[in-house]
Amino acid sequence: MDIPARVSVLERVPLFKGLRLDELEAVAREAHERKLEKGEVLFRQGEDAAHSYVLGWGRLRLDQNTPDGQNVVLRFMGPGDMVGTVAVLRRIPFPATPLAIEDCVILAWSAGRTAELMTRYPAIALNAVAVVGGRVEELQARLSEIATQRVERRIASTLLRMARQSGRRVEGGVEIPFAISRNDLAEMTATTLHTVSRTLAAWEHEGIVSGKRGTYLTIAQPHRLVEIAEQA
Amino acid sequence: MTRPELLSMTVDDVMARWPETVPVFHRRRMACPGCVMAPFMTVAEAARSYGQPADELAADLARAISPEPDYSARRVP
Repeated sequence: MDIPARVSVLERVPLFKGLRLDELEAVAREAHERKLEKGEVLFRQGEDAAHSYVLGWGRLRLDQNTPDGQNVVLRFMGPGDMVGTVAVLRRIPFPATPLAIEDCVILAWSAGRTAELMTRYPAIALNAVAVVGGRVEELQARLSEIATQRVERRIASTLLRMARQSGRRVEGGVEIPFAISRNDLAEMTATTLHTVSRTLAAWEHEGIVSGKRGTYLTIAQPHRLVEIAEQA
Repeated sequence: MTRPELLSMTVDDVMARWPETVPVFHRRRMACPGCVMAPFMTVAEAARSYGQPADELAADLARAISPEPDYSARRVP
């Protein structure tokens, strides 16, 4: 990407909200670019946090291995999301592994450069706090769901959350425009593949969701799914 | 005054453009204000979800919308 192309990406990134054009250009100039093919990882859980990243376009799935060897899907990252910034600032190893589930173009800054840019343009640091705060809220909501809600409600809430973040209105309802497997859903909702499959099959039968193999999952009856999530 | 375009607007768009419509949803016991799917569902679809006639909902919403100022009126000093 040339500098103007990078700037047009960075303009829409919440981390850089409020920066002037000349400041965005400086940030753009000091980035390295990385391309990931679908299936590649950006870094591995446990590695030194040597760079912070912004996803220009594409999609990443953030996987975390638990001490007993299970995989948890923390979240999906879309265009404009920052990746690895917290680990860089806290000087801890990366706590998760971002896997490209589509081809990605990524901008990277070294750990030193990340800190320097935040000092030079304090708005970046303030924006980072807001982004991280939003993620904390999301995790708190998920933790509360796991502690208090039955699994069908958790699956419904998770689908609605993804729809709110990335959903697209299509003929048949609200589409979640990237590939999520039943296994991904199980790893996001602290349940088994069997339970997710059974729940989605029941919802498909009732016409609440639709999603044949190879197509994106579509929420055909958003109102019904909200009722399930909120147990109205 | 009727506003036929309301039926195909999303609930979120209607509430954002005319906040005075929010009480209409409350009165009709519709949970649209604050609903995560409000940006994706049209007024007609919301009515269907709650088993309410769409044209009646649209009429209620139209009645709640404050009339826009008439800039064509002129003062004669």
